[in-house]
Amino acid sequence: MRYQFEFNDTLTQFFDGLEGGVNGVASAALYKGAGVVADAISGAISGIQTEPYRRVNEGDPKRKPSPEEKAVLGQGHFGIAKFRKGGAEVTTSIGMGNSGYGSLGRSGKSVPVPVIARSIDSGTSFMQKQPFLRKALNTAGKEALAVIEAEIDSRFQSIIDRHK
Amino acid sequence: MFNELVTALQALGTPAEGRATIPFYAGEMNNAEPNYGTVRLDAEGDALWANGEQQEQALQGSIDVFINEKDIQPIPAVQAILRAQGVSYKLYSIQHETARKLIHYEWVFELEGL
Repeated sequence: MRYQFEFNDTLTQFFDGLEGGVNGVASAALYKGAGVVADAISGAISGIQTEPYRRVNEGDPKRKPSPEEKAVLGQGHFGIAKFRKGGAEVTTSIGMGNSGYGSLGRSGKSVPVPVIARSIDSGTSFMQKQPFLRKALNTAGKEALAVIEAEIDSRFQSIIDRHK
Repeated sequence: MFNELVTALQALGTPAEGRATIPFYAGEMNNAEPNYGTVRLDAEGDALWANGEQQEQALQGSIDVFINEKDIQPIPAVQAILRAQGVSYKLYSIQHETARKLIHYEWVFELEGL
């Protein structure tokens, strides 16, 4: 998901040097927007249906994720990446791309968290599909955008008010 | 719109020369079997409200195809149907299940709800 805000040059020059400049305002706004998305993902994880682990052979009913698999996703293994500031751009990413490994308990083996997230979101030939991430991002993306815009507006307004 | 899409996809279950043969089901497939496709609606993709009424609505759904590695890949056959139905789509992922020698193709599509 990628959103881009552009500021015109005169405006950028005016705000640069004040309160951390445009990047400062953009980071603060992005942080709030990222929080909205992160909250939506947490909520979606808690809504995943589970059943105790069982082995699925060909022709057996597909299984739901086990409670251990859900727990791995819910243990704060996803997050907001450190903000990168380059020129007039501030970027971050939210998700499980770099979230390491989770232990599934039953065999003690570690499985990469993105693999578990992906197999639940997309479904596999043996696991039922529960598109929790995709659905969360559908709605959270728009909410985040509104929060980011409101935050940028209010910060710029407060800078303007102080320098009147 | 969705019912027309299901009917069109189910035509892929009839074998034909030069394209993949995929029996299609609406909704979730209960059993772990190779070689089938499912098509389902998942959620509202986007909506436009004005005057207290919904003016436009896009329904989001997904198509999953599980097919043997050796079979003809289903991308042209499925996407030709989506295009003919005027459905916007994205080939969301292609996942290889090496243990079962299957390939899982996943599309996310959006169609008009109203």
